[in-house]
Amino acid sequence: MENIRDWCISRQIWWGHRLPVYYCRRCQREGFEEAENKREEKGNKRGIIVARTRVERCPYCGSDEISQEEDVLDTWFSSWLWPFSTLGWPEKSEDLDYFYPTSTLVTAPEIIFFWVARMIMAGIKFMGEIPFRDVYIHGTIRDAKGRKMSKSLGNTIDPLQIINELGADALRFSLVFITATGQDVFLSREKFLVGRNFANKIWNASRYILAKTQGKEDLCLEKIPEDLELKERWILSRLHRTIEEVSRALEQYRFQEAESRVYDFFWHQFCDWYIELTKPSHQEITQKVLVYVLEKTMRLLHPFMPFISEEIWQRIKEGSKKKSIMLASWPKKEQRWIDESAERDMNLIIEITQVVRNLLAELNIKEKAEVSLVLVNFPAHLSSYLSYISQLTRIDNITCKKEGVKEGILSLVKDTEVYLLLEKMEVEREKGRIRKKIEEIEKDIQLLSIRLANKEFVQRAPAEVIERNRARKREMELKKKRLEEILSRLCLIQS
Amino acid sequence: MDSRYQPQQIEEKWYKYWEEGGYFIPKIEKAKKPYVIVIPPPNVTGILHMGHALNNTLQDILIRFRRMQGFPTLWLPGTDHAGIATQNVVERELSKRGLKKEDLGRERFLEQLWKWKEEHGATIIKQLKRLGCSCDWTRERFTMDEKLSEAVKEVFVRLYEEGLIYQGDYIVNWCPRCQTALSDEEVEHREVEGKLYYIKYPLKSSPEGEKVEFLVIATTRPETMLGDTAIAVHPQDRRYKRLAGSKAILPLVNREIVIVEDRMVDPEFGTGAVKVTPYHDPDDFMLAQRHRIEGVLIMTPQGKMSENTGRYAGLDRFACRERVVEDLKKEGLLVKVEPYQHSVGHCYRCETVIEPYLSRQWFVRMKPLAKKGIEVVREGRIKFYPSRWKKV
Repeated sequence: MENIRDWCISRQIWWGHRLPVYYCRRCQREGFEEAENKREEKGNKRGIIVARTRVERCPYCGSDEISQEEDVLDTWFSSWLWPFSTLGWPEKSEDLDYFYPTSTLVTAPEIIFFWVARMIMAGIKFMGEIPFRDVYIHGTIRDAKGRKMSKSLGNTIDPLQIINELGADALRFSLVFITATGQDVFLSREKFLVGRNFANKIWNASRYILAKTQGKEDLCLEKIPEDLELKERWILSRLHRTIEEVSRALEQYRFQEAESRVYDFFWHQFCDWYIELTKPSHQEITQKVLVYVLEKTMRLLHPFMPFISEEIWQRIKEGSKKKSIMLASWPKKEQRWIDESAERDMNLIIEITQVVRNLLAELNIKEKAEVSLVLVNFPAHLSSYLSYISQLTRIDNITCKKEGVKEGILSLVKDTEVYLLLEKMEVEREKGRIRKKIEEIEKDIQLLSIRLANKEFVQRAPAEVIERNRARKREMELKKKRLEEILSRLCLIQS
Repeated sequence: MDSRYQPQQIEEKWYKYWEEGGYFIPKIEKAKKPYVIVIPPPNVTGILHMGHALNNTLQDILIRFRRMQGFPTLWLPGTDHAGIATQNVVERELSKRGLKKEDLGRERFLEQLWKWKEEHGATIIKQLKRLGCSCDWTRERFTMDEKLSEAVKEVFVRLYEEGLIYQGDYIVNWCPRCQTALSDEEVEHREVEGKLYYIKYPLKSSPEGEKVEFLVIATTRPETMLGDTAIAVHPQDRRYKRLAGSKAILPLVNREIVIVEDRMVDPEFGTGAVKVTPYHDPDDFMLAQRHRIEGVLIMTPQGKMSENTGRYAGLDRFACRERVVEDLKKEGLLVKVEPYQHSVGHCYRCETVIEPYLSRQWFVRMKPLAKKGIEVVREGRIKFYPSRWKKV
């Protein structure tokens, strides 16, 4: 704003606001117009009349030889007044009085200077007050290669087509999901699947919950008792933390963070763990909590995905008198549900489950009946929740011990040692299989190394191809290390 | 509940429900502070693109969040009349019928524009609705609504009366095709593989005790030499120390032109001696004002050479460029031609090369207005997110 040039506001076209400038031809003929019309200090020269209403007669000489300036004003001469002209200015309307100054302007970087700056100037000049308190500037949309989207490059993606194919919710969710605050957005068609997949997840989870709780409309959720099981204490604590985080992020215009908090909570906590654990249960309290969490999460989700959240909410609004989720209140964090020990305990159970699931997958064990689990140093107060691990890993035989066993595969999760016992484990066969796999991986790594050491390849191949090869090599090396670790433990059992 | 999620059905249904319920319209409650956003108005010719989609999704997120928080919440929508863009659309339609806007005359042409607006102006509004935008459509505005036009007039008159609007001759960005001035923001700058022409300007007389016979100047637009009225050098440039005040003879035209010293000359460009064409270059215009040098208008608004150019009159500006170069070559005054990459302004609507052009226009004096704006931002009364934008 500091090195500003004067603004040329006249345009030689017809569509626009014609300048309220009138010329008196008689005055001009009589030579009142200066030959060299250099920049004047003040307006109101004879022969030139600037007026709010149409001029019929010259105020100086009374002549009716009046013609209006042919030029129209630059389009931006109306848009710099937008924050108050839209509210009724220059009239002192109720809207202007109540809604001005506005709260936030959300705009793209391309037009930051000339529009935003001029709106600020006009607001101060004509309203005596700034036009908005906050200005949020988002990134530019680019294609996957980082080029600006333009018709001439042929790299545009039509948002209406995405809406038709995947829905407006999917479009909205995806756009925000891939936009880091104020950074440019690199877009390709596949990136919209994140929104579509999430919508599907919401749909399916909601269907499950609704089916499970059908016919129980009177789920008075405010009266949830305090003596709850771990999984309920955990999910309610996580929910109220999420409420707090989403609200704070939105207050500070961190859209992507707010959205991914809702996403992570719904998908990777509520669906992946809580709903999984409720599957065999028919307790009323579980049903209550399922609906309670779903209802609150739909409200949190509403600004991001207004349609699907309304659709689900209308089915579970649990006696709310509101006619729409739009009118429902924003969820509030309730401190009484924050339960750190529940979160700590549940995290331990989740981590143990993940370790066991990974081991089972790596050892390619499908027959869970042949496997048993031994936990050493597992906290005593959680012993009643071993059923969670059993349910989540589908291993029935789980025992807790005071000290380590000699056999099985060891993993350490916090202080708990996890032993996986394979009852009919043919160690040699397993070892052979793993060794063979390591050999295969080594071959791959060698091939990749040769390619990456080839100067010609490195010079000629596109950067992304080289990076893909490097990433693949890193991935292979990691896998090899992991398998070697398992192999060493298998050996350990033997000795 | 359907086993499959089908967005098309539920989206249409709920948008209708919200709109009919009047849920987008805020209740004015004096005791409560409102939350308000005015939409950056899309062009009335606009079709929703991804940039709009992102921009409006973010606004709708804020609006729905604040509304649920209990603020009386207003999202005020509208469209911009987008002067040149819209006029061009209708002009193109007319040209399909073999008509020019002049054939219709101003009034009938404007009737066509309003008709076009009635028929097509709502496209982007419908698209915003598809996106789910919860705007208060009862308050929708258009920059050429009667009331908004009153506001425009009011502002113009007030600024004129305060001396903040003036009429003046000035170098503007001129599009010879659209026949209008363009603002700096309406000019697209593109890197172009051009040429740099080195031309000899003979001196009227060599300075005392020296045998310099001519100066070499460099230019990317040789045709503009026909409008030269001076040569400028930097006061600290040793090569030209003793030349200030003496005169040169403008080739092809045989006009005497003066050599002046000015600090704005870049000694690194070309030979360090630059031609001065006051009426066809913004920097030269300023320089000429400082030194009280007159200019010569050498082009017509159509981008053809004017009657002030003698035998070149009537030629198109680019044809004239070739002719001037040929003639210079014949006279042995063209030293060399170098390939030169430089930025050239193009019209953002029709891509024609912009011509800096002297014309009578209306201006807003910006410095007095900008001063308070800078203060407000500096004091942090307006917060920018992310904050790195503050410095703009």
